[in-house]
Amino acid sequence: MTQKYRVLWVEDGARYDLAHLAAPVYMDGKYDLVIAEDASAGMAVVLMDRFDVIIVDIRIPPGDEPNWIKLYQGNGTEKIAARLGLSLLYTFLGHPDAKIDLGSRRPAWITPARVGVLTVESQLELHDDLTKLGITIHGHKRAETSDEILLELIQRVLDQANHLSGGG
Amino acid sequence: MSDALATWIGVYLQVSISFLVFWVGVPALSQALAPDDIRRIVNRRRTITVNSIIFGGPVIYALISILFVWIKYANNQILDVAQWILDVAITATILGCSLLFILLKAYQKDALLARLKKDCIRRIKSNGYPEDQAIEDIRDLGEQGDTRGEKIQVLEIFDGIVAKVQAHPSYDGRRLEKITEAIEFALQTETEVDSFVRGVHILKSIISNSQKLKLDSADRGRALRALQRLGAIACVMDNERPVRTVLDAVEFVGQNGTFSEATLVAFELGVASLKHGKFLVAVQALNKLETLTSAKEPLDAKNAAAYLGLVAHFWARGGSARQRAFAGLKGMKLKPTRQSCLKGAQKIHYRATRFETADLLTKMAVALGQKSGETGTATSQTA
Repeated sequence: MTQKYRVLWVEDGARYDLAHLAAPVYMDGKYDLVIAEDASAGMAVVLMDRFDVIIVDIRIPPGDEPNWIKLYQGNGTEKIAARLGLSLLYTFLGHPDAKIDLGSRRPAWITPARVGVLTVESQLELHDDLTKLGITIHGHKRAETSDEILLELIQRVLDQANHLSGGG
Repeated sequence: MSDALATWIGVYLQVSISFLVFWVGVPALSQALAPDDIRRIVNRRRTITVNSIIFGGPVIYALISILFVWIKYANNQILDVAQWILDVAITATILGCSLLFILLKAYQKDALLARLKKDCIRRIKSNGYPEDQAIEDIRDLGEQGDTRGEKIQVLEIFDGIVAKVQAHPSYDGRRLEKITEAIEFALQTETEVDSFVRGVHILKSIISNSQKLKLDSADRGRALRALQRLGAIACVMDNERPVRTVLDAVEFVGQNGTFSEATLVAFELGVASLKHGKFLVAVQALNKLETLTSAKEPLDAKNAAAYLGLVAHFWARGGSARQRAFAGLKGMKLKPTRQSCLKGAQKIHYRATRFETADLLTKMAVALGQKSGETGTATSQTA
């Protein structure tokens, strides 16, 4: 069997409200989808494993890691205001504006080309942050979102990463 | 040390310790008397008990100290110990009883809910949305509500909060995730028809208000998916009113946008009702799907997927169910052909892991293909 691409999806609704978005990914058979439901879990997973694609939601809960809880509480104790998904991306990518710095523990394999966001915020709203981070792939969760949106996003990120690495 | 001073110190310590015992003991007593769920929420919010101990204790302690110092040094009087102990005991009893009354009131569910609602509304006025924790607390009270009245009360609070959030000028259609989730959780264990219907109406109002505000919003999609899951729960309830309320909400939604999500809800409800032998509801779902989809004629596979999926389940039951489904299918315009739509719909259900539906569509396509010679034209009612 061909080796599957490893995909991390950081999304608190991934196992419940948005579980249907994972169905086409599983059905496609090419991807090993790992789900992290909060910022702490997302960070723990990338510190342990390597992924070909990371898809992150912007409005995620902090989880149980004290630094993320502190950040969440310092931003109104609401997912809407805290936007921990963005903070997670700053941390993943080792950006100077990262509020939680992984230092030498930051996995070097995480590059902007491997990352996409799937969120209720529009691309315009996230423009400044995504530009700073160098992330170009964005999926918008709307009232009517195609079941295939996650799969499409993964494929776009993968194409981009392969293109930039010269993998074709 | 003079006798008077020793007496003064003794009384001072006695009285101040009594006060502190009251101040710590009364909240502890009121906690012990409160039900588990309420105690947990009050503790989590750390407002009443902790504040009363942290701030109340030192304030009272300071007051006693000032009073005693004033009596001892400013008035230069020797204390009449018995009189003072009596006075202080009376005062402490009055204060303690008042505090106990206030705290017990705070530990009542009604009062706690009113306080949470007030907190939410205050937050909405400033931010446009309530605090996540407050919504979770209200949800917990609703989940553990024993009586119908308590559930309804919680749902009414949610209704009010939803209305305030959606009426706020900053509402962007993406602020009701927590509350939609909370309403759904409150209804998941609900067996009372009135509460269930009330909850469904709130979800419906989230959708309709988003539509009125012309917001292509995540809140609308989320409320619809919650309706879908609640519909499945409603299907197994003895009373058919809840599931029919969900269906009514879906038709209203489908006519005002969010077509594919709405048709999927009707599809799921139709399939679940058929499985539970609720044929009236199943036919109502089919009817809704016919109404929703016929507005999009001629239908391609994507728009027809939910409808054809339900038709396949009716077809599989044979007899009268098959006859009813085909009566509708006969008049439905499908493009480019019925066979291609059936194949396309099969693929869509397969991709969504609805294997049973995908398999039934395959079987139906084969059966109809054989009967009609794959012409793509409508078949007879008894196909």
